[in-house]
Amino acid sequence: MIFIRLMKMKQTHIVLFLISISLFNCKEPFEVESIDFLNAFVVESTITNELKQQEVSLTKTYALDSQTLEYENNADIWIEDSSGNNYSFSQNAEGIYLSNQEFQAIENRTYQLFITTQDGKQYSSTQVESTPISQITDLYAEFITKSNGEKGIQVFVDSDNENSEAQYFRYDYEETYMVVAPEWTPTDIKLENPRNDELGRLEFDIILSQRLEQERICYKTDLSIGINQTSTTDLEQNNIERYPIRFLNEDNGLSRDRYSILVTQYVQGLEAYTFYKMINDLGSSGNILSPSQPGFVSGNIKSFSNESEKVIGYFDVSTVDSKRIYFDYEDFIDSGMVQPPYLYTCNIVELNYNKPFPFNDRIPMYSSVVNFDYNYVNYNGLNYTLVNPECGDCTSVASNIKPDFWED
Amino acid sequence: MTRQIIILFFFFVTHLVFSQSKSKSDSYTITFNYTPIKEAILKLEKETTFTFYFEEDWFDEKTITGAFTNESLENILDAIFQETPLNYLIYGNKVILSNNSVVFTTLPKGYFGEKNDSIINNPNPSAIDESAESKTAVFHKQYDNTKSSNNSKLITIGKQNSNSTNSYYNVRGKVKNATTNEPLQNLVISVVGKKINAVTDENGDYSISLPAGYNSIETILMGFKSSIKNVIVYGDGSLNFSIAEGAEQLNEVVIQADQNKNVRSAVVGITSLDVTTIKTIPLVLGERDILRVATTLPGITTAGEGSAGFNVRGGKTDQNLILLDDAVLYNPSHFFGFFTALNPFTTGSLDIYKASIPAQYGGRLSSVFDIKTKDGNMDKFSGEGSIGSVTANIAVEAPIVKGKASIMTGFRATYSDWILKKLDEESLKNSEASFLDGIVKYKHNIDPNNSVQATLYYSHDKFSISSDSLFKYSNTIGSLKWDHTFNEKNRGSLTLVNSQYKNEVEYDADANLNFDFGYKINETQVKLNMKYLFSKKHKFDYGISSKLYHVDPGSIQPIGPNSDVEPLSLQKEKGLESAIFISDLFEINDRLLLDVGIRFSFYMAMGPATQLVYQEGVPKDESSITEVNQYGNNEVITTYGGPEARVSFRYFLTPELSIKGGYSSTIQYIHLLSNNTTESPTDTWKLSDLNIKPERAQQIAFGLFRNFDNNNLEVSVEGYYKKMENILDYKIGADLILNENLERDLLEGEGKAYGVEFLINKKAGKFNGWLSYTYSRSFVKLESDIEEEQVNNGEFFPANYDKPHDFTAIMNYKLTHRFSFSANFTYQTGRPITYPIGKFNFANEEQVVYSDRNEYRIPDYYRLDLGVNIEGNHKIKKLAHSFWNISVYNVLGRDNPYSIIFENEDGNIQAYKTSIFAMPIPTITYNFKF
Repeated sequence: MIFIRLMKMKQTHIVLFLISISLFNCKEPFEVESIDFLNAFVVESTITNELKQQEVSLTKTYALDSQTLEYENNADIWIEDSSGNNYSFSQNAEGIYLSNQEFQAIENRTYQLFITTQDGKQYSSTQVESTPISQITDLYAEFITKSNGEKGIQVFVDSDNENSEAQYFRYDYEETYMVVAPEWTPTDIKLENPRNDELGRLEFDIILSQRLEQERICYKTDLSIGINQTSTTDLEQNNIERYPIRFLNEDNGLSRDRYSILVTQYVQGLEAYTFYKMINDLGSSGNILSPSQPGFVSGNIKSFSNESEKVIGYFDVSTVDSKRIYFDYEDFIDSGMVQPPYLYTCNIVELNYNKPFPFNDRIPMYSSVVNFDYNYVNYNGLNYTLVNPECGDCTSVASNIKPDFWED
Repeated sequence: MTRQIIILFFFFVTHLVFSQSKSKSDSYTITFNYTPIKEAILKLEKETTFTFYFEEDWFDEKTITGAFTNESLENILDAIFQETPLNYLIYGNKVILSNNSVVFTTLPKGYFGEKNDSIINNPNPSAIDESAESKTAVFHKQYDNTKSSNNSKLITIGKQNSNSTNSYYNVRGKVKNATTNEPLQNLVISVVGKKINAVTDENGDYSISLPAGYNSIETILMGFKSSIKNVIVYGDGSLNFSIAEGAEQLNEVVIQADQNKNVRSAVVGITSLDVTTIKTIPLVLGERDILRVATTLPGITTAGEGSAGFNVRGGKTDQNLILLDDAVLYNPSHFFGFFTALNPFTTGSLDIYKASIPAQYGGRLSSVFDIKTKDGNMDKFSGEGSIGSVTANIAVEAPIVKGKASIMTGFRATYSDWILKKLDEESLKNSEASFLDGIVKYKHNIDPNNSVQATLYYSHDKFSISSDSLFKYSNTIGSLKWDHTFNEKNRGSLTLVNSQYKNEVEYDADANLNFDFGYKINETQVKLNMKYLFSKKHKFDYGISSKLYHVDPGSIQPIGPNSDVEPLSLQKEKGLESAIFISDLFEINDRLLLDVGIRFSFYMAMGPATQLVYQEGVPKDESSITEVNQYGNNEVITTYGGPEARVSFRYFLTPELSIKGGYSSTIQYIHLLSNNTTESPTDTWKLSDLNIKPERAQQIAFGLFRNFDNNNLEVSVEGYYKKMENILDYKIGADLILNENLERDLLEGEGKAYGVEFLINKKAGKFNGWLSYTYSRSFVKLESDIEEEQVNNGEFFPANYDKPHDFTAIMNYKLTHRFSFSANFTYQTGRPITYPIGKFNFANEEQVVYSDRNEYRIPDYYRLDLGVNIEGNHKIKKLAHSFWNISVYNVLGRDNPYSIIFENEDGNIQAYKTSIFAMPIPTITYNFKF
């Protein structure tokens, strides 16, 4: 019953006659009994036609009430292709394995993933063939107004596949944006030597100095979350046009200074597409007309030793294409875009050190700087103006190392 | 009452003067279904112009079951009184009943001057006096003294005369077989405790000389029940016997005295319900709900409280053919199944066929729910109504042409909507939930050989729970039927029916997602059903039917200028389902009865349509399309069909114990798309087409039936095994609505179900009711070489509605004529559910991993309901007859989970259970009749 799922009413105590109302009120937390946690092994890997160190990620399922991601470490991993090549992998980080050599998926070859876990269990994928090649024809951003009135910058992708057999596409993106601390000053503040004076009142030394590092302009990179897929099977032409990848609301500070998005298009086979789609459908709440049928989604990884063992995940071989664009709000000024606010709220405080007790602010000042890393803005001879680190020092939220690809 | 007795005697004397009444020859159509004799008479009184005279004490717990079509009053009364000591006299517009006294309007054959082979063993033959007016002195004391030790009815013979002096009187009469009405020869009539005997001749006639006063007369014949009649002999007279056979015989098809139908009929897995029998069951929300009562019987379950649809013997909810006056009722429920969409006052009877589905029915795999509307009262205006907590209901019957034509109409509506509007609770202000239904039936008996009836029915539901979506659905039914009797052996009926079911969802929340979704199915059927009573051994049913479907599988329209919803309308579907059927009720001998039937059904999917042809052995998708076929209007896309065997038998092991068995195969060409566990109003029906094959089922069933205590206690055990093919199921994540390529999300699986059903039913008495227990399993297997089309490794898994244990007790206790109590207890295993059993990270996102499909179960379900009926006084002639019903639903306040849902709250998956009536729900309803 979907209707009940939509209901979030509070318990109401109505005269018993009004049954029709109280029908739907009874939704209470429930301790699920005797449900066995499924301890399964999760494989996520897409090798591509890019010449690079390919990656395999091995994780494990974790309990419903847990927040801790669990990794499968020390596994022995290799990939065999249909031409007899064997690529072995080594662990790079927790649960992440990189191929020892760079390689790329080649058209018309099949690839198979083999895994031996540290406790000796063996798994393999089915043989997966590389998919057709498809290019991102265009990646662009436009200032749009959605039908609900929401305004912002929409990143679209076009992919012309008139001459390709690619039909199933998965997209992910990596967005990098400049974080320019709005209240940054070249001056750093340090509070040293805290002590009590003869009356037991707090005293400390305020040391202002030049910042040693570049802490005004930083860069931050985020990965897309979730699965974004489309297919051309229901379209008359095998073209993807204006497929929405990322929407930045006009108030989203990502485009305040400079924003870059790298969109990667993976051409998938039907099986891989279906697997990802099922995972995605089950993760969303379903539409109002028909909720999704839940169930265990099996991928293309099987256990050697125990056929009935449940293994989650998919080994996919995809051709990829990626494109990067840069923009900031100024590119859309003509469309009415104004500079969005900074990503973080700035909390600017004026604090007095010199006035006699109890008219000074020494205790909050000391706490702000020492405990909360507040940054110096200025000193007007009477009060110190301080700001939270997100607004004074960009390294508190991002990295001050400019990425190699970055174009200003 | 004394007055009536006096009148009785008056007519007794004068019966020869006033003979036939003119309206006696009229014919009547009336149906009884386990109706107590007294109620049957009152019903008959309503239906006819006759007034009946009787004494209430004469009626015991015997009931009558039978359908009479254009029968004379005598035939009906004969059937009613067949196995009772009652006799009757039709005099003018009056029918006078007599207890044991045989009242003749003509003398029996062989009364005068015919050859009489009766052996008269009379110690004092000379004392026989021919005169009925002879002088006899009978002392009531004789009777009074013996009364206490003998419960038989007292019969008086002759007229008491204070001047009588004779000590012996001559008593003659005829003995007939109660079932066949044939005279019984060589039956011994003996007077208990006295050496007086007589034997009947080939005409069943006897003559015996009885001492004046009290005598106890016993009849003895091999193979027949012996009966004892207590008589007081005042003078010469006659006494007829109607003797029931010891071994049961199948009755004529036309008139059924169905006291022991369960033991006798050849149908295994049938459930019959009469609305009057459900009167005392505790009500939910004050409604007498015949379909809800049906779910208390073995083999019929619902997925949960407040879920529409029934699962019959492990079948899906779409596998039931629900007929209202021969037309399909697509959604028989209001308000998530809390109410039946049938007006209890206008509903006459319900027969549910769970196994041996008669050959005339088809198109669904699991069962037939044959619901008949009551015929209106042809003689006087009458009505019935109720006012309950949620609904108000009124039904009125009126004659149009007195004695020939009547109209019956019922209307029911809820006022919950009005209550919702009155509430202060802000969150409910915009909620609404309302329903209504109305029915009109016209019946006209043109002549004894022809009658026509027409039914119109409409039901409508509207509800919105979250204020942003409004759901509506409606059923519309029209039914026309003509019954014709060609001759004594041939009868037939022609029906033309149309059913339509529509649903609609208006969603009005996010400005850019607002939509209006609509679905519609319409079907029209013509059916000719003939009966040919070939001989006593062979009775044939045959006929032909054809049904045209039109389905509008869905369209969506944006609401408002801001909606992003793209208008979309799926291509319409059309199909023609036809069938030809014949069955023979073949009575091989007294013990073995066979019902052999076959039905050939044939289905055509028709254009206009575009259909895709997919490559075999690979997943259906765009890339596996091999052809795109276009079909013009009425062009045949594909055809399906085949024979459907319907065979059943009954064999008497002993007269009261029978074994029955049956095999039936069924084909279903239309499928309900529902990936909710329960049927929901937004579910849609889909016709078979190029890519969706019809579902097929075969069932084999056996049962043992035993009646005790004069058929008052029925005990049965039935077992079944059922196999189903091409059962529709859905891929994980399937999208069923507005899916232009639905076949790509569907799976065709195999189903199997088996079970054992026990039923103990005490039909009458102060304490009555039934206990039913079912152990049943239902499994589905979705196996495929294609990984994504396989569920649970291609092994059998429990179906959504698999509830192994199901126990129900319905108990009624009648304290006095005015007060009766009832209780109803149900226990069921919780239904299967697919739980999340862990989390994992994929695509940088937390995902939930689900168990195998239906691996877990929600907690068990149990519930106790209690009710009390308080009747008004029992004056028969009274402006309105009324009763109050007070009942409490879920007295124990058991918090039965309806479903378990999981929500992601701040990264934590929290399980919630929803339950529907988690507290006792009292209701009070006032019912009245006029």
